[in-house]
Amino acid sequence: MAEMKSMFREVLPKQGQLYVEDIPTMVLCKPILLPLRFMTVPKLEKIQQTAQDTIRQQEMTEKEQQKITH
Amino acid sequence: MCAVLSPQCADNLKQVARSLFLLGKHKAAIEVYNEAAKLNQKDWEICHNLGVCYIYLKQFDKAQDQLLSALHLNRHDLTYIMLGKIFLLKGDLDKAIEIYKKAVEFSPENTELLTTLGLLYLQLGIYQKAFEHLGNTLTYDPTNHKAILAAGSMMQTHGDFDVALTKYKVAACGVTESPPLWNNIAMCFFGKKKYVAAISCLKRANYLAPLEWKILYNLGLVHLTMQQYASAFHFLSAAINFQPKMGELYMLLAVALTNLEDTENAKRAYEEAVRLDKCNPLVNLNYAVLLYNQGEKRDALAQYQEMEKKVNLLKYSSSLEFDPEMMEVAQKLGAALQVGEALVWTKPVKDPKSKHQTASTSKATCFQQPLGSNQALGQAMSSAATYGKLPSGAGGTSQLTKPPSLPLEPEPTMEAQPAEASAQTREK
Repeated sequence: MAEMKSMFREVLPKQGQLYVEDIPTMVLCKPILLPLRFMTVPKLEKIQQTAQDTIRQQEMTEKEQQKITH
Repeated sequence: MCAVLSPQCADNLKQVARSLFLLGKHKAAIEVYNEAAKLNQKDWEICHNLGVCYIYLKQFDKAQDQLLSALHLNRHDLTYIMLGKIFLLKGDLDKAIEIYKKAVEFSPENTELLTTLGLLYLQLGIYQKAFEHLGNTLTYDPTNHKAILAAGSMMQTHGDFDVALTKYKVAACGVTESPPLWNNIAMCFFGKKKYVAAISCLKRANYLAPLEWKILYNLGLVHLTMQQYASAFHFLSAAINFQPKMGELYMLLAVALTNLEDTENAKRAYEEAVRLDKCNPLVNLNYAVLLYNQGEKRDALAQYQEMEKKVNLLKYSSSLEFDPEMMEVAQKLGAALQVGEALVWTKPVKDPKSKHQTASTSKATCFQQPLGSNQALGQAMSSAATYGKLPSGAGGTSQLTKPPSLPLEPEPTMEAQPAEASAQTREK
């Protein structure tokens, strides 16, 4: 055909949005990244549990010994 | 206890009432204040505090009466401020301005009064007075954050980016974590075509206030200008979540989509933009551009004519300048569409530098009517920047639509911005 159709470009606004006042608004709390401890916590719990068990057993055996002697 | 011990002492009763007030028991406080008033009729404090209690109870007329009596007894800035707030809460801007004017006469160095009055004038579009009062605030307190922000935004709108930036520097020293401040600073850089600086400032503002549509709008705009269309799309769609009725946002989204080669959705975005927007001719122009580029000349012409209607409305209602780039594209497109003698900008084409020689590229929109065409005000701003004085000149005629939200003493109450409502995402 005869001539090329010229392509036009869109026009962007030259001024953006401005603030006239500083009004307090709601903001999101910034996320706090917790350190990953999901392996160590159960382990610690187990150790504590076993320690408590052994103590209880010791107490039981002591009581029985006392009963026997009296 | 003291009130029981010496019930005739008005001061003790006042203290009791004050404590009740601070506990939020306003009705009880009012009763005790009335008791105190019986003992001492002429105490302005009692009247004033009664007024404040009534404000909390939303009985504005009673509050008004009490505050007026307080003023008659003894004039104090605080009473004026509370009275002004009542009128603002009632929505009566003119009365509010009256009260603040009287207050400023009584106490011309009170920066809070000056700033509030300035902001009220700004809201009504009386730019000369607004700038005068804000300027006065800054002479008394050069680091006043509120005044700097307001005055700076006026200067920016007028194209005085460097002056605005120097003012913002002062403000940034005082309050560093202010999202509006960083937003405005960013748009100063944008105006000076320093896009990378603009983006850094906007990113900071966005980090501080991720739910603000204006910051997201600006991020979208700057990315579009830098031809980063995917990023622009991301920010613009976020902005639309917060501000779903703004035609301009959809227009910018459509520009992004066009350049991402999604023509179909770009058209849908433009359709929405055109449906929502009532006054910005740029929306129709850009749609016409897309349609023309797609070969749909008839639809392009229709959009072009819509644009012309809006341009005419704006030309006769206010003395605004249009973006020269917009005018240029419109003329070329008009020629291509063979609009003929109906072309809106034929006259300005022949003499493009006829009236206003200002370098500011003002954009014609409903949301932010620029002050760029007001030369007297422009001179005022420039001279105010250097000397702190103001020559008298004609006031501007356009309006800003953002209402001021003032803290109610003693506790601040925050009015929600209309933009805060979140909405469903518009699906593409």
